[in-house]
Amino acid sequence: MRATTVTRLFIASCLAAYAVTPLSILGAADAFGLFLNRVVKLAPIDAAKVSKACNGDRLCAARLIVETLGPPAQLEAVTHPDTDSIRRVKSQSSISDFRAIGPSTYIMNLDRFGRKLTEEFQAHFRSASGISHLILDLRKNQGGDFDRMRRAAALLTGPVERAIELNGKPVDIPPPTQQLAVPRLTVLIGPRTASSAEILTVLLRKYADADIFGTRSVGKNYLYRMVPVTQDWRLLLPAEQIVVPGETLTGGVLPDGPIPKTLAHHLN
Amino acid sequence: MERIWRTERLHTGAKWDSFGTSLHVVEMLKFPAGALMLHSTFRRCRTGAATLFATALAAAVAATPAAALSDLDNYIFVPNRASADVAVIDARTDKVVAKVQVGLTPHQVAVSGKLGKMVTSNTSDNTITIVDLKTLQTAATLTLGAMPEHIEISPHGDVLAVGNIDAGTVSLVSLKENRELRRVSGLHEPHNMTFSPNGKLLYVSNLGAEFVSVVDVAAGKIINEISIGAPKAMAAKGSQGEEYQGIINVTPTPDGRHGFAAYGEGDALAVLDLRTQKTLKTISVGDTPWRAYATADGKFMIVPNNGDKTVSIISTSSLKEVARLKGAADMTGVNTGASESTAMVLSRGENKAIVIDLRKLTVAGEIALPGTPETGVTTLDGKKLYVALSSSNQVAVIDMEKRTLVGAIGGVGEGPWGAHIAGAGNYCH
Repeated sequence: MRATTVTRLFIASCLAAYAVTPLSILGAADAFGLFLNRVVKLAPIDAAKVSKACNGDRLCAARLIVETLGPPAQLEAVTHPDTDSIRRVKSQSSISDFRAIGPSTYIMNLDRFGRKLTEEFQAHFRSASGISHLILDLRKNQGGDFDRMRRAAALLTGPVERAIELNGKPVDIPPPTQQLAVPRLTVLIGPRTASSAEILTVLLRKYADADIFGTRSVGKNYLYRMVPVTQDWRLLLPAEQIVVPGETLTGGVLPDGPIPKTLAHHLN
Repeated sequence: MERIWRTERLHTGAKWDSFGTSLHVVEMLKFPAGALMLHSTFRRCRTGAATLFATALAAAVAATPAAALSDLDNYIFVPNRASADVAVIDARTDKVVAKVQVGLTPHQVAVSGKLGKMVTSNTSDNTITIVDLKTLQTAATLTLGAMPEHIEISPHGDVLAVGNIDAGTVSLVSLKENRELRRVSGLHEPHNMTFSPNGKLLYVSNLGAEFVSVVDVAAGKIINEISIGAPKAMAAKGSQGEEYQGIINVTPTPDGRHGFAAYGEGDALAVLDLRTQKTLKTISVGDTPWRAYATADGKFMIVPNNGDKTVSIISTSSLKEVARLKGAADMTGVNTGASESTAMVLSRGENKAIVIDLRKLTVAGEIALPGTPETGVTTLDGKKLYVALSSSNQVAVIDMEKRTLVGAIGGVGEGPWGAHIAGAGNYCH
């Protein structure tokens, strides 16, 4: 609970700083100044102090910003994807497994929120001959792209207005490209299930009547904004708190119960 | 050394001669205007006979360079990633008339008609190859930054910008002097680049960021970064190695006043005022827009949205989305033609071209392709479209007026990745 309070205070201070910081604080339109201007829109930093300390070195500035802000702000190495994957020549799968475990009962391991998630979902549904019960395994899913998560939710819930709040601002579940009919939905979570995966879990409980089994999830309820620093480094700045009205993300999502024994032996 | 001599007539006046085991090929092309061009398909020519042959042809070429250059518009240049060469197709006969060996994994071709040079970016050996089009011989091989991919020639034809995507740098190369002038750092996976009409500024699309970098070409420095949308939102412990799609391209209007930049992660198309370097307006489009393609008359920007398989049509006068049409999987190119009545949207995911009627703003049909389309180019008269098919090692030929596939050219090389005509509306993935 203490960590959550600290996070809330941190995000609140970010917003307060954003509200009062002039966007053109540094004036000069050099690459370093432009970078600092982007950061001050998201985080309460003393741009003049950072500028003086780092003398045009963006990586130095980013380290100083993280040191000043403390966790959960972080500096992250960029893992450049193969550009062929950007060009859609290649694609990393989001769904690592999809198989039948009984008559019209299927397990789907959804491990990430990749760019082709919607297409993968639809392709698996086409390959199955009628799904009456879908077990969505999110135990290895540590979150990811917030917008792709909303699109994945839409496939199972349909469009929902004001389903989520980001710093109090309502965000919808958008109309799906194709709504998939699933009479019964079960979601599995565990101690690695985090962020977007946790939000998806509670959205499915609330809007698709999903049963949730497993153990308590991580409890990460804020959005990072990615600020490019250099080609190989970027800042992750916590910028918005996520709330799903009527659901609790703080401290982790609590399941309805443990994974039933009848189901456990089917799991990877 | 055993030599195997082979001669084939390819088309009127053309010969293809090879010394099989020594991998030496010399090709003589007789162009319709009478100019002779020498083509050395492989890097070196060691035999005495071949050297004499080459010398004779080179002398002939030197005597008639203007005639050869005046015909450049009739040739399609096709980089082949797997065979590391560029095929030259004569659009009048739809035959391969030459192949030019270049560096490893040629990604894109650019042609400077003014200087009579062709350039390829070779991503696997970090080089560019500059080829003299009078002789079809390598004039220079320059080592640049890591993974040079996209290239753009300045409006005056003398400066080449090369995006070194893995290094986060852009090399500015003098095509007159065949040397790197400056290397600009501070970019984020630089993708396609666009010169201002006077060539003084370069707009660099950052695939790894949500802004366009503006480079002062003479100074070789970034002077501005134009924000296109909000930084990407992640709800995760880290970024999880997500495939981030920032900005692919800034597509200018014909007058160069406005630029259209799609932001893949933001589902939006920004309209930039290129004089003030500010974002004028942001237009919502479909899910994960690829980039904007301009019609030649400047009326529309066509944006494939790969996330929801739709195509947005934007009016450049109203700056509004005037149609959202059904698309297909993995659209990586759009070509227009037939008096700008037709657009072809290439789907590499479904091996087809979607036909859009630009007068009615409707989908008029689709054309099945015999391979995986990469990118294409329309001839300057707008009548024919050539599309590189990477999976079948062919180039498809589409009649833009009849909206039909009229043939597929084989023998272009392995892994054709694009098609390019000097002075046409060229683009790359």
